[in-house]
Amino acid sequence: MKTGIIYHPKYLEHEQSPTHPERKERLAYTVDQLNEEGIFDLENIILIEPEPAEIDDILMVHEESYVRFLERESKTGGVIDFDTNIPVGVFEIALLAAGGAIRAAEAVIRREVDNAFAMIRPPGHHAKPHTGAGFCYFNNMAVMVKHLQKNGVERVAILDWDAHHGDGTQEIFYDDSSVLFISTHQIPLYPGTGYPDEAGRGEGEGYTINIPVPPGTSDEEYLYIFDSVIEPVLREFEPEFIAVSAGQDNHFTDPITGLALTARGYGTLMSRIKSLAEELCKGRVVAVLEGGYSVEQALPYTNLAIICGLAGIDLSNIREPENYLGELRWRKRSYAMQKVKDNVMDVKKIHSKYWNCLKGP
Amino acid sequence: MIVGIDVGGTNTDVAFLSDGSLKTYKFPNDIGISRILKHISEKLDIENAKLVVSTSLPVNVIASRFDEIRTLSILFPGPGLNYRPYGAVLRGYVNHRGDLVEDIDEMEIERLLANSGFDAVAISGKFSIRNPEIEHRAFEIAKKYADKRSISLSHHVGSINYPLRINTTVVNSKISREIWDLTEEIRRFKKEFFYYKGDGGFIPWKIAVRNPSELYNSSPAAVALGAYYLSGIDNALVVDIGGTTTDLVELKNGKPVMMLNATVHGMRTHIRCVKSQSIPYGGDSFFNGKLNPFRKSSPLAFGGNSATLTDLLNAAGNEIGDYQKSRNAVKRDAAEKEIEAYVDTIASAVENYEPRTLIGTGYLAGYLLPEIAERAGKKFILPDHHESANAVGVAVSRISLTVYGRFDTERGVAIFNGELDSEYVEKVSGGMSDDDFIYLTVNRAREIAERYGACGNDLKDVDVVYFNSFSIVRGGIVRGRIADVVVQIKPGISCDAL
Repeated sequence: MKTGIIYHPKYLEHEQSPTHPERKERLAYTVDQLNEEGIFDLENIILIEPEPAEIDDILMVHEESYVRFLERESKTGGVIDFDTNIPVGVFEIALLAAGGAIRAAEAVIRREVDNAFAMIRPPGHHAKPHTGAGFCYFNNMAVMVKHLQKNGVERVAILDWDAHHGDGTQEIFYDDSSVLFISTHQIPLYPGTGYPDEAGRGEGEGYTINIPVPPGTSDEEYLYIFDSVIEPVLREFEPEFIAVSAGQDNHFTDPITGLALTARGYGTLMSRIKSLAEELCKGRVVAVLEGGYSVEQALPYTNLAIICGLAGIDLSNIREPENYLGELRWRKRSYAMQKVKDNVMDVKKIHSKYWNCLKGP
Repeated sequence: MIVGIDVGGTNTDVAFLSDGSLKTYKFPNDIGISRILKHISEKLDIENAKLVVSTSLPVNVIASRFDEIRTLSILFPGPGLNYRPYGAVLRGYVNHRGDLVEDIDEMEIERLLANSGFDAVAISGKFSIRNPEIEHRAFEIAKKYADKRSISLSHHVGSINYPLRINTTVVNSKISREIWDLTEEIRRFKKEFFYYKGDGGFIPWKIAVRNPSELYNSSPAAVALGAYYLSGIDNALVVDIGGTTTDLVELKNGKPVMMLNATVHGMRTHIRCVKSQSIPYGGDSFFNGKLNPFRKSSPLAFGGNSATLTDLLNAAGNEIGDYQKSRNAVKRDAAEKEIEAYVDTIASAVENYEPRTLIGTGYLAGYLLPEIAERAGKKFILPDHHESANAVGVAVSRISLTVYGRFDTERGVAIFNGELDSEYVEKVSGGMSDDDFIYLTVNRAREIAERYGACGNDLKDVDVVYFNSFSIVRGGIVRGRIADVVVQIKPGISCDAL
């Protein structure tokens, strides 16, 4: 059993500005932790260096006018929206990030590894066909899924557990029944979409499932959602490949969200997905890094947790240092479970006409 | 004047280098280092010479007594992977920034030490290279239960990668005591001296005793540097025919080929040393009708009581030592057959290497290398002093230090460790640039080397082996920068010897 980690030192070079939340420290501290843990020495961990994505792969998701705009502005510097600059040289690094996701999928399909974690920057799930947004330039996840489909993998399930709604990915696959898109995310929060009644359109009706969660949601609530919606629906969909938009801004120390997931929680979710992939699709699963802005207190531990979950490494000592736990008591909300149960009821109400497993109480 | 000593498996070789003239001597190990040093100090003014010692002690202790020496491995891993298979996991954690985020429980450490049986102690904290405080505090407690010369601390290993650092610290703990004993013996003759490292440079003894695994494989390193110095050939395979083994080391562009993360007794470590292939046959290999891969005694020709490869060479017509004794004991036919078998073994190993030229070193190279070269289809050379090329290598090398600098300007702290005489935790100001970080670390390496008498030209060659830096942002404001710098004064031939 082998797990690939796709990483390139160039992912540390991208910086919108030194104080932007999506900055190079995000991976710098993580790489530090992984090096100290000796992760890359383990026999079942394979470090894979990616190549930039081909423009043709990008054009399967994004409009040519946007791609040309980004390429041009990236030479001199520019702006997409209030929190997404175009720093000089971002075009090449964004291609390398999308290439990282593609490389992860290829490594799994070709059985170089059983599963993989694309530890890439910049993130992608807010990027839409016609524009980047929310720290994202190319939708790495969508580019990867389109690449898989071009190469004969037809049915792909995307689970997006980033704290923010994956609006870009949702839009790209909204009327597509070959791609199941499930997102859990905090509401209210940027980008303001992702309500349960956004359920897909035309052919794709029923293949977009949004499960919002309130601030204060922690490990137990996430596991409840896995048990009651995610795992049953994935079983019924019978994917050939599972892809996870593995944002890490659900952590209880994240400065720009209000959720309360722990490092152990991430490890557990990832290992549940790994088992499910083994049951449903020969273990084929790729996790793609999206957000996550608690650079010191979370990312070193949560990235490690995700890798351990994928690689089947003992999770018993995956946790945060004890003196961070005060923050968890502040963040966790006792009412979160009831609200999550209500939201799941809403989701079942809407989706029971598409999914047998969601029928009944 | 420089004195180089290589204590090998069988013999101790000594080289004196003074004003460009080179003299070499060979002593059997049985005499002991004290008598050899006494002998040298009678001949020359050792007080005013630079003394460099290469020793195969680490290799020997690891080969013969590794499991016998019981190490208590004390770990402070904090959150992360499960390190229970590596030792006793205790409370306490320093994070990646070097902040103490979980304190140690001193009573827990006391209890463990009081209730365990051990000969040596290895103390390893995760990220201790960023802040060694936990290891120092545990050391103070461990001193009550163990000789401090048998306690090793992981931050002295210097490099990031905790599991490898734990393994290296365990190795250090097992060889520490013997290296201390040897050090004290040598210091009776000379207070300040240097140890030769497995990468072909040397370091002050004070630094070596804290991370003695660096001395691992120093003899093949010495042979390689010596062979290069004596022959001037950049690309060759050095064939060192010693008493116990025959070692092969490849020279590429005048440097021995290196090995990273050497595996010692089945454990991957941070040891960086020359790559060598050791074939367990040499001049003292025991003969009883056939040649055996071990030593029983010196050759008959040198007063031993059993026949060896050296005696076979005499029986086949050579005149080494008291050759009649050899000829009385071994028949010529049997001797020639076994010499042939030895030559075949070495030649087939040599064939696997790219270089077309062999450099012969060691006492028997003159007798055996021509045939080995012919059999392997290679050219060969036997430079002057090839018999003691190992000691020559020790004498002509330069001081080589690796220094790790970690800067965190938000905390206002710089920490230097690696091959330093003590680790330095210092205050730094907030406004430092990347150039400043590199400049400070390079300077630190130069200062230490200079203090130990390195020649100025050797210090020009300081490599920045690794550099990384980034800003620390809290609350949307840049609060400082973090930088990692690793620099190395490269091993090689010293300008003193050129």
